[in-house]
Amino acid sequence: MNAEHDHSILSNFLRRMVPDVEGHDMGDPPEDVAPRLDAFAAGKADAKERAALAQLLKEHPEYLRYLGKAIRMKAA
Amino acid sequence: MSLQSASNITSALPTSFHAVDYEFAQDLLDGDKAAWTRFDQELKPAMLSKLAAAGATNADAHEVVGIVMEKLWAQKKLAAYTGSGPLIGFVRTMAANAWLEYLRKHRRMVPATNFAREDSDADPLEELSKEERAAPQESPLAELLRDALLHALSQTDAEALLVMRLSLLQDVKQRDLCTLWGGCHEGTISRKKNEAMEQIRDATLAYLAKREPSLQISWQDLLEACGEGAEAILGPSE
Repeated sequence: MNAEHDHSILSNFLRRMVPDVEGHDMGDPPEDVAPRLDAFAAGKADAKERAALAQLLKEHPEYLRYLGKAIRMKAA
Repeated sequence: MSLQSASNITSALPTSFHAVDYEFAQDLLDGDKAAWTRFDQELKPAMLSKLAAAGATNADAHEVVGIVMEKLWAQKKLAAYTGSGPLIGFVRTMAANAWLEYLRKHRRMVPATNFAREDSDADPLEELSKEERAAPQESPLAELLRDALLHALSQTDAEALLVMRLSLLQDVKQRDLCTLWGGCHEGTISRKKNEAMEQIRDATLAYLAKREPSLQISWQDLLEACGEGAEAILGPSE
């Protein structure tokens, strides 16, 4: 199994079937969520907060793009 | 066509464009005899072996291939093939889709041949009508795979899924993920990604086995249907 190859195929398929499920951009997350994602992107989330955010992002994959962008900006 | 203009066209096409297969499909659509002979020699056996692997008997497999031929030719479904993957993947996925339709149709026909079921007080016509309402789908395979994958995603460990999505969808570097995950080793991140994918695979296959036990689909079959065969069940992508 090649995780990258398999994931790429499945996410393209799901994007066509259910556009929101793999991180389709829905704009900025709500006010109570964005600061938590920013703190995570800055490396300030402890294990408990990481677990909580992971669950939140599983339920709301539409926030992934915001988080990914925040992480990339902090890392640049 | 000049070499330069041909080069311009091909450079605008995706790198995975299967020009020879695309031309073959056009010949089939044009009714070219030699192309259909080649179809019988190469693609029909590929569909039959796919169907046999999916649990079809020889007789069922031939009937399903007949259905696929009717769709490809009379219904011009072959026109949906754009060459983005091998033609063999396209027809094999059409065969898998037709096999699923066939299985579901036959499941509905069983009660229709047995109206006076003693073990049920329900009105058989009402039962049939319910099943009929639930049944017709243009792409039962696509919908089944979508449901299976969504179910699998819901079963996957949330942190492993997040690591995988940040890495593969959002292009977050492995070392940045290590920093976010408390300075862990890169091997931990790789392991989480693989774990997520394995969980998705296992949960997807378990869902399919439970929901459609007659459809014996492997992970490779599923990847083919979602990837190079997707046009066969979803039409060309935009």
